Amino acid sequence: MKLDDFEAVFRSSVKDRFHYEEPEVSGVVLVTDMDPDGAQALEDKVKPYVEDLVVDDLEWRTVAGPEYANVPELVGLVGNHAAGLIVTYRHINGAIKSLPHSLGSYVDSLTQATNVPVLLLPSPESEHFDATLQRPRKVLVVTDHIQGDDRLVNWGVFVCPDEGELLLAHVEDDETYARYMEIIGMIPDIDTATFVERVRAKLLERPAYYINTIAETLREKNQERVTPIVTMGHALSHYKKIISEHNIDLIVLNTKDDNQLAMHGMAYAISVEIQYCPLLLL
Amino acid sequence: MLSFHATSLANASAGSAGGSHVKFIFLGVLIAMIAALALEEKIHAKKSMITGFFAVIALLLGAMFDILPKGAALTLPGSNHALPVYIPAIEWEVIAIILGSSLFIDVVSRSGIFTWTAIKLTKVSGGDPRKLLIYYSVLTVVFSAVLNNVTAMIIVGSLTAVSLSKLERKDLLLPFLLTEGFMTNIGGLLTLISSVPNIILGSMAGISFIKFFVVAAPYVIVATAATIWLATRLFGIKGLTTDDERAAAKELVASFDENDGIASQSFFTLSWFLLGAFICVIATTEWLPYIRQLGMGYVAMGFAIIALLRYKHEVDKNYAAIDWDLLAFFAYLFVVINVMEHAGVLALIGDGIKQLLALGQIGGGVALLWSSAAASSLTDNVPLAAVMGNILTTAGPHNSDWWFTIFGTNLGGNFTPIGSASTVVAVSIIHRNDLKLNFGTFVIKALPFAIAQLILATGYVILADAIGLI
Repeated sequence: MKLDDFEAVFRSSVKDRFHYEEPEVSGVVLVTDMDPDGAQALEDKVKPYVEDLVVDDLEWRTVAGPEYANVPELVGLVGNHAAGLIVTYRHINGAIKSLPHSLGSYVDSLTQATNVPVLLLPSPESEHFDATLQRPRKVLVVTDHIQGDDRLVNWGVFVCPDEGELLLAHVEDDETYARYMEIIGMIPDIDTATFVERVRAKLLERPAYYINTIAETLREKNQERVTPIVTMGHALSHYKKIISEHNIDLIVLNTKDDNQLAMHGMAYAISVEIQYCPLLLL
Repeated sequence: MLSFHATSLANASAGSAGGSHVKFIFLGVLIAMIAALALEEKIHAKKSMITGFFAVIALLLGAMFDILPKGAALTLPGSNHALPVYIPAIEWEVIAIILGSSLFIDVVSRSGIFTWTAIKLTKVSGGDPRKLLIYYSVLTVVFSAVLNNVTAMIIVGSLTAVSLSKLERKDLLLPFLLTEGFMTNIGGLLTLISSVPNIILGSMAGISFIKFFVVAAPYVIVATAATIWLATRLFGIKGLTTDDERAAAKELVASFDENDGIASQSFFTLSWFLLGAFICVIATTEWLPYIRQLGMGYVAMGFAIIALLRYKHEVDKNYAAIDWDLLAFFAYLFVVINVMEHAGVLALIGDGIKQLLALGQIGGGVALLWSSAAASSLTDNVPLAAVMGNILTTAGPHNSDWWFTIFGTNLGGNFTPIGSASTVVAVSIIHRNDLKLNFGTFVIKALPFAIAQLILATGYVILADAIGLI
């Protein structure tokens, strides 16, 4: 074994372990596009659900439609309140019919212009709205890179009731993988068969290890029901399948993309495709 | 015990060396080879290419000046087949030890026992830099003794880079790697098979494995402690002081999974057993019936074959991992040294050495130690050991002279970045991590360590001789 071999062994031995830290939520801002009465009625419906989800006795602020005229004003309002959680719904200030494949510019901006998690509910006009405001039994955390993402998992744990089931899904995109492996197969010095097999195993092994440490930690908190889903495939198809097969009540996912202002690619696809399930967008 | 057929062959014909001008021509060839080895990195040539080139030149010159044995060098008993001079010139027992132990160590390395031990110690340290330095230093010494200096440096050096990066203490990487580099040459002194100069000089002197260990071990312990103490002082490596710091560091090293490199638990366990058995059998070879007739090369090759059974369907991968450059380097080097002996060059150098020995038992020995260290700091210590061994064999020195030479050739490597293969590896890890260290800076940083180790060695060998340990 040579220097590279030993370096690889030691680098591989450094593995992310999960550390539980409860997110701090001191206040909530409910953002609506309704008049004050409508906003109050919505608050009455949503508040018990949110308090059950996070914590009681939150400092609550409901923003009605007339309080802001545009996106920057709304972002400013939310910023002034220093909220720990923003609650809003799809297509705020927009028509569902005209924007079926979009979240709308307001939601887009709230997820990207603030560091505050956004709990995105279905549109109140939707027939599914009332049904979604139930204590979740199954919470799904989705990502393509779960290892080391304590913040994402901590939020998943936080919003999952003790008696609930936390599903942790890590899906490696097989198309990207296949493209790289195709190129590897064109390099004569590399033993392609071994490489393909070992890269795949290593890609899946590390998130599985991390999820295992999550399960260990949660067992100590008496939360036994952690279901790992670590696989390779077409991410969106897998997520849709998991959501439908497991009757998921709440999805937790990252939306920030360090390289751009727009929402993280897969997050946007999930947000648009999965319309009838509340999403917690980090 | 090893025997040097080539040497005796050479001795038999040493009287046939040509005139003094011929000696100086060959001396020039030897100096040119040693200089080329010292400048190996600059001339971008592998060691084996350098010694191979000079072996070809030396043999051709030897034939032209008619200094080589006439006809065949060795005729096999009961056969008409004769071997050319360059075949018995090679000390095959040394080659077998190096080849066998390299293969054996490569196979058991794959079980994860060395990486497991290294990571386990990292976790036990709790991420405290001073404890980490102590543990890694001791680990380097032990690995250098059991494996070889280069492998020890590779294992501990690569772990050091990863663990200090994880601990966000990359500022300590340079002092750690330097200290570990110095430790490899101390650990290389521990047993007869810990370094090639030990194998060559110890074998020529007829020192047994156990005797070597008994004499060298006390020095290794003292020198290890002294080097760690110096490193903490000179490099300012301090322990963690607050509970918060300790808790944070412990948390960071806890992310190491020592079991990650273990592919098979059964082979992992078997490898511990095999390694223990290997050390026991090597240490007791001279007393084991039948085995003692076959020697340590047989033991090393035998254990390599046993370990390779684990990978019997893909041994080509293990063969590919062998450092063929190193083996070819030794083979060609033995050929060059043999020709030099025929040419009378070693006798010429031996005359100079005799003047050192004439300084008296202690004075001569001390001069041998420091001159060997000086020579070894600038060139490879293997040719130095081979040359010195041949000269001392014919000079009939005092027992302690062998030990002065063994300590000098091993420890001299700590003076410069090219002084030993393991310090070369340490510097290469330093450069891989984008740390700046040139030749002069290395020497300035290494000087206090090398001088302290040599002063300790001088005092120790004198003392050991005085109390009859040697």
